[in-house]
Amino acid sequence: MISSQAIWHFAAFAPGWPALGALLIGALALFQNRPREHVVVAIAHLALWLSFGSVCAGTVLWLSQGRQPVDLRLLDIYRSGDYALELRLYFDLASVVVSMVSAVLILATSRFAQRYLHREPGFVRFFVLMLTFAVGVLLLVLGGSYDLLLAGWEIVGWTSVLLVGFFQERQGPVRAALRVLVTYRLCDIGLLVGAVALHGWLHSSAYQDIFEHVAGSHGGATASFVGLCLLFAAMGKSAQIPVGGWLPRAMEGPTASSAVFYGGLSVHMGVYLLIRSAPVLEQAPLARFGVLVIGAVTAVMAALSGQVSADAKSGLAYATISQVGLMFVECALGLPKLALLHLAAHSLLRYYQFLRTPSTLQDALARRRADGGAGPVAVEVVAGTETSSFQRFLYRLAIERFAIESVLDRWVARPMLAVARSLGRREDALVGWLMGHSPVAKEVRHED
Amino acid sequence: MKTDLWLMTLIWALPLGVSLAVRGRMLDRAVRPAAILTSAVVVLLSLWAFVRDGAEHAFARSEAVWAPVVLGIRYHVGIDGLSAVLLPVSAGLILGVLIAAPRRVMTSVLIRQMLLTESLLLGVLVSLDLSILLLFWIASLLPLFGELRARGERGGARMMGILGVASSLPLIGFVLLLGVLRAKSGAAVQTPYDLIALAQRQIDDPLPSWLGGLVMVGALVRMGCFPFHFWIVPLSERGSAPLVLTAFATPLGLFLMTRVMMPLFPDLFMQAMPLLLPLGLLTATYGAVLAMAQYDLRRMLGYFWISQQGFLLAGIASMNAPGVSGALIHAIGTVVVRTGLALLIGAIYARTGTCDVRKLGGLVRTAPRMATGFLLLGVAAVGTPGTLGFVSEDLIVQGLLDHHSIAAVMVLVTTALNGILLFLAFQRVFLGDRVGHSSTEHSFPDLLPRERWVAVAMFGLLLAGGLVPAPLLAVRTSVVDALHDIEKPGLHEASGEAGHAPSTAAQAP
Repeated sequence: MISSQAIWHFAAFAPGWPALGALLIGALALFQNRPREHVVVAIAHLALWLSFGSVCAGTVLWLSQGRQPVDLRLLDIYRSGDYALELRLYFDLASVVVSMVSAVLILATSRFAQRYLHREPGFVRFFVLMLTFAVGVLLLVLGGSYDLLLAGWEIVGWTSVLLVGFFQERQGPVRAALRVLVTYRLCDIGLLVGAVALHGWLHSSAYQDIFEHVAGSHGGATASFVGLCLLFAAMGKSAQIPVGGWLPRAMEGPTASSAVFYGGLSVHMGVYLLIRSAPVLEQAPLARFGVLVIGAVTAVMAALSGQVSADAKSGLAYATISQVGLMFVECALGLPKLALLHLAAHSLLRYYQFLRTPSTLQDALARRRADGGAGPVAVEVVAGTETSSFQRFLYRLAIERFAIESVLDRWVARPMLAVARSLGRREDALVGWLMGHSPVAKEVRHED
Repeated sequence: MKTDLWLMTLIWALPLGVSLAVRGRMLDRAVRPAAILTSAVVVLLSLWAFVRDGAEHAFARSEAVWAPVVLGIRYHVGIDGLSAVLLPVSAGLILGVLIAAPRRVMTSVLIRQMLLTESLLLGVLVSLDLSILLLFWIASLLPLFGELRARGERGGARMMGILGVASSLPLIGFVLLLGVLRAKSGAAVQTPYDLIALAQRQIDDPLPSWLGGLVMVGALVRMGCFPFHFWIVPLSERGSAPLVLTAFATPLGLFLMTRVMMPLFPDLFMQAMPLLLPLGLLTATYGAVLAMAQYDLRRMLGYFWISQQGFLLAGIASMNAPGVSGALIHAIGTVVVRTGLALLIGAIYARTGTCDVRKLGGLVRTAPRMATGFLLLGVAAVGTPGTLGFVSEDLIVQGLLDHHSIAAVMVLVTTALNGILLFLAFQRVFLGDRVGHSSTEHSFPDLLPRERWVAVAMFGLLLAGGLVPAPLLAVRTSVVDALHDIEKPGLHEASGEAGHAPSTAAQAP
């Protein structure tokens, strides 16, 4: 008879299987120029099936034990003085639902990509990144402390960036990847600072301890500060305004990754953070108000931008942002269970829609044929129709994506670079003076 | 004769002996294999020393009681948790440089200079007599100075001279004044420079704090902390890369702080903390911001290095166990990352003749392994989970958390900037369209096997340290334990223990 302890340990290894898979494929790539596709796929599938099995085992055990939150403390990863980073997992309704959705979607993506990316130069890279992404998501969702959530959050961020820039020989995807990275890194500071402030406030970063102590504490300004920091982090990951410009650009990656990352999972991780932090947000009315405003404004603006998008993927991206904005509103209204249901349903729907986008034209033609339509597609002429100035104003704003990116570029990125260059010039002048302004000499080279 | 004494001596003397022995035109071809073999043997010896003595204070086991005392100086070597890790890491990195550096620049003279530098660096790490440590310290800068002068690189040589003077002069003053003070103190001390004797001195025999200030200045200059950072970028750009990497393969500034300043001047450390912490943060931010504005990869890496030195200083200045542990581990992670990235940049330079990112691009097409190596090392450098950088940065932040939360936030912001910086460099060099030197299909070969395996070993070290950091933290415990007395401000004043040294050395049998 297998003890429940052994099953918990198997469940806790859910992020471990894809990590082993990624390392194994990485090692193969080290020895072979191009490992065989079927070997790579076999390793990835095995790792993801085992991971799915682990998640299922945890879910079944959690259900059988009365659906109470389970805080699984496994070991200290390291310890120094009074501080220790513990490997602890947390099984509750939110983590079980999101981890199940994640495991299923990643497994499905693996199956899809096997054929979709057949003979692509980046085939092996895609599978390594997807497995690493699985590690990050499962660590983020199942981790029992903000420290582990942060670790998973970072891994998800890096893999997302690298998959956006998957087609690395083209400038477009590469620039888009950089924009995603900058947004992620800057917004991640919110999570880092939030975790730091939370630790300073409640002297722990473990959910169990935080949930126990937060209800009785009067956080006041600290709680609001923590809540606002977490909101900032969630905005970045979930592409909320004003830092959401990266999501439509992220569609430059392969369809499989767009589906699982930006339709299915990655973009919902901000919502998961808010759901996970619901007890903290309860103590922070100011932060909840912030979540409400950001979510509502994003929902409206993204819906407008989506209306004027000229391609299917961007349209879907804006629709996703809009729905995620509504999830923010639900979190702000103190309805985390509704947000969780919305998250799970929306992930599955968008995942499917993203996978279908390459076939959009084919689908449209099929629909027309089914309706009995034939002949060329009619083009609706909008010029000359009666539109109010307000409508034209809205149209202009929507098509320019509310000019948020150009404002950020002009007022944040460029001044920062200008300061850096100015400091660099002064430094060069000082160093040049110290060196007597002598030119660089050539390196001696070995003549054989 | 004690095994430990022979072992410590062999570790620093072997590269010196080989560098002196392999001379003459006939032996030119044998220099590189001999240097690699010697370095490999030194790595093995260092690992042996690490296994034997890393977890304990084995100073007494290697004490040469028979050695003559001349002017208060006596040959005394030994290791503890602090140096036990640095020895194999430094020796391993130098071995990596010898293997992976482009052959065209590896002249026999340069290789001999590298071995000589290795010997002197390892000498600093094992020295337990302050005056001998100082001799090794000063001499370790001379080979690079000589190389720059011989090559006619006057600006670089001048900068090296400034570094030598600025980092050594305060220490020379310290050693001389210490000798005078110890002679005047009336205590019949035969060996006034012996670190163990200094640490074990009576509590009514304090050392004046201002004397420690000299050590602090020397250490800060060698670390390259703001405003003493001016030498790092020019030397990164103008020095011969393999020799520069060898000369700075050990974080000697941090080593001096923890080996000499923390144990001998704990009160000064407490007093200087309000200065050191902002200095560390300023250094970290300054380096990160300036790195963003660079086009030359070597200069960018130089500023990144400065930024990392700020992290080390901030961690040390936190004055608690996580912070100091984090700084000590971060020193190792940083030096590994910097050496790895510098080797890859050197490989790019050897293939294209430029390090200017405006002239590079799209290299991933023909050099995917080089791109992967650059990316992985870059990712490891900015505290990504699963790597040593995550452990060290987490510890530094935790160390700063309780009393300096704003500082913790600044460290995090700087880490974010460094992440953007390294990805930006990766993007410009390896991704996108082919430009300039990389525009022809076959003009840019991928990493050679020797280069590839060195990069793999370096990333493997960072990964292993990140996944299983406990052993690394354990050997450093002895250094961190010494903090317990320092952490309690006012203790020394209250008990009159102004000069008592709660050092690792104080616990030596």
